[in-house]
Amino acid sequence: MDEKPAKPEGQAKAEGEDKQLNIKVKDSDGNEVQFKIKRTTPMSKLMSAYASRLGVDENTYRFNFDGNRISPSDTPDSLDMEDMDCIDAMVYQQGGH
Amino acid sequence: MDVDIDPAPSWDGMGSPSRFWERVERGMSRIWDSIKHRAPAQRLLDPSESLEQGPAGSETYILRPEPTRSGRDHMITTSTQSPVMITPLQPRRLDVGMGIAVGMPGERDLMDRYPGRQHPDPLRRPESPYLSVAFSGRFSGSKLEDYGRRRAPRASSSVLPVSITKVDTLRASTALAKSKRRRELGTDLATEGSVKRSRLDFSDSGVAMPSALKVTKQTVTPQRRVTGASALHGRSQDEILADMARHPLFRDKLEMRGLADLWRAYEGCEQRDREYVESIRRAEDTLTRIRAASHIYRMSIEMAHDLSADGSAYLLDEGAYVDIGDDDHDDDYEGAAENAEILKTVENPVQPLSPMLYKAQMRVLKHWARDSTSRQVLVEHRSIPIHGHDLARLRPGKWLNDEVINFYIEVLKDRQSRLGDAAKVKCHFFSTFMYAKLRTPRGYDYTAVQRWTRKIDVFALDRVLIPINIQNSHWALGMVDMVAKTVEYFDSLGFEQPEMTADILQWVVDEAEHKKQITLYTNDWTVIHHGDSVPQQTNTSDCGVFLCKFMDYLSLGKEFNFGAQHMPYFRRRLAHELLVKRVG
Repeated sequence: MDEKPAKPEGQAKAEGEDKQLNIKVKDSDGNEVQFKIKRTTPMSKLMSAYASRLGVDENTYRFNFDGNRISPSDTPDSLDMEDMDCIDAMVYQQGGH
Repeated sequence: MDVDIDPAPSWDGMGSPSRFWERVERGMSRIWDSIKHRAPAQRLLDPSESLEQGPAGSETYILRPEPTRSGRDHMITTSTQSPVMITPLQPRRLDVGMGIAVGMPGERDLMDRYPGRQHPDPLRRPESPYLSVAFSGRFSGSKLEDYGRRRAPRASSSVLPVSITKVDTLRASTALAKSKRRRELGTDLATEGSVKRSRLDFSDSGVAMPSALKVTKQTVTPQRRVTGASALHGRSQDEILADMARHPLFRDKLEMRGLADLWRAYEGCEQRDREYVESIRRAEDTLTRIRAASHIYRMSIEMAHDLSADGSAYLLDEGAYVDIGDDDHDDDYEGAAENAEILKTVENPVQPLSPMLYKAQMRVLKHWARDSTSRQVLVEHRSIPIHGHDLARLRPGKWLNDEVINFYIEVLKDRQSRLGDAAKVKCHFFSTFMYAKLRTPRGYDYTAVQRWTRKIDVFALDRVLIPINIQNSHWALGMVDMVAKTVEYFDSLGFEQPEMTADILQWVVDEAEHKKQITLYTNDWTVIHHGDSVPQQTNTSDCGVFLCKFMDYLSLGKEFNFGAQHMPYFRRRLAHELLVKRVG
């Protein structure tokens, strides 16, 4: 999902703050989908966009960033993300025997 | 039931005497079985035990009152001169087919009927002195010469087992004792007081007697139901009857007579008996199920207090997930940090097998009793949610998923940081996705996990734990021991996975190269597959629990001291540790 900047032109911001990040989401087979997201946008938007892009239920994937689980309320800022960072979309695992 | 007892029995329709006896034996053993089912508390003599072990000093016969030639009376004879006590063994069983019995005709009748034959019972040779007992509704004893004077009230063709017990002790007893006994028994004595009359009472058996089996109603004192012989020897009437049926004399008596009449009566009664026993059995089955259910319920409530270290008490049946309703247990786990009582899982966190607290178990059981497909988030830690359906995976028999294991890893991490420098072993825990990223279908890919350790120096630690999911059906654990320079593999099914340990070792090499710019020589490293030398699962569902406990023990540096029998306990304990977000 592409987040369009809705900010008026000329508004003074710290550098990079209103910049959109390119975030890749990579599934366990290595397929990548790239998103643009604002630093302050909750990751829930990215998650639901990814799920709808793949046509699956939102709860299908566990999104991890550098091995840590991403909460829907996280933002690129809170996760300390940088441009072109990659998120892992992992499917559930189970095992018994 | 109308049973017409043929006064002149024959073997017609019965085949041969031996075949008849086979049927009698089968029928009798079925009856013994049914009696056992009906009165389980009362030990019955096993039919395979023989009468030879019966009470000393007793002779047991099956007596069938029989019309004498005069048609006036019924006779039972015994040759003993000792005082005897005659006891109807199963008066109440007459209605249910227990009365398969024949009696001895009077001695004279017998010899008349079998002219020229020797009496089959050596004790009853005519030259022996004998005592005959007339059955006259009540039992009474008499010498044969008295017999004519004692008149039975009515002819009865009822079939009645009777035991005749020699009462040797009575012989030496004084007249005073005799008279006292007479008063006790309330009997109308036969001659010399040597034979005690016993009682027959069918009036309270609750079953209408078939007319053909009708026995003259007796006047009895009800409290004397336990009759002399059984009281004397402390044996139940069932036992005596069982003895009786085994006795060779009994068979002799039966063979001397045609038994078609008895057999028909017996079969009719047996059918009724079977239905009766069946209904009792059904009722008892129901009762057993109710008891089992309530036992399980009670166990789920009470078991918290008696958990022992031998593992046996850790078992919990799947059926124990009773909904115990909303009680005073606080299930607001989000606020658990302020509630020290909720935070406690076990009595002694230092002991790995310490019993769980009662309240902790109850909270878990309560959650388990709820909808196992619930999507409600029960608790969340480091962005990993545990839904109702995730927690339900800790119920015995269910497979664990990544959420449960990753959540548990997070609380294990918490314990590590809580212990701080006091930790015996310094560990890093990867999530279950680490190995999935490292080894993808496309092959080994270090770069996928390269950033995972950007804030950690794994070489400064003692152990790195890598949970491994195998084909979405099995959990195992890989471990890197930085001190011992080993890559170890723990599998609760005893498998060995050389390619996985090779991947992990390669990861160590790549990690050293990328993070430390050191080249490791794999020759310095040892790969250990523990196989089945570590605790092994005995089912097809517990491997996730084993994985969690492997990580728990290894991160504490403890030796494994658990086994498959502890898994139900660990499942409950894991569930509570997730709910309170705290281990140990």
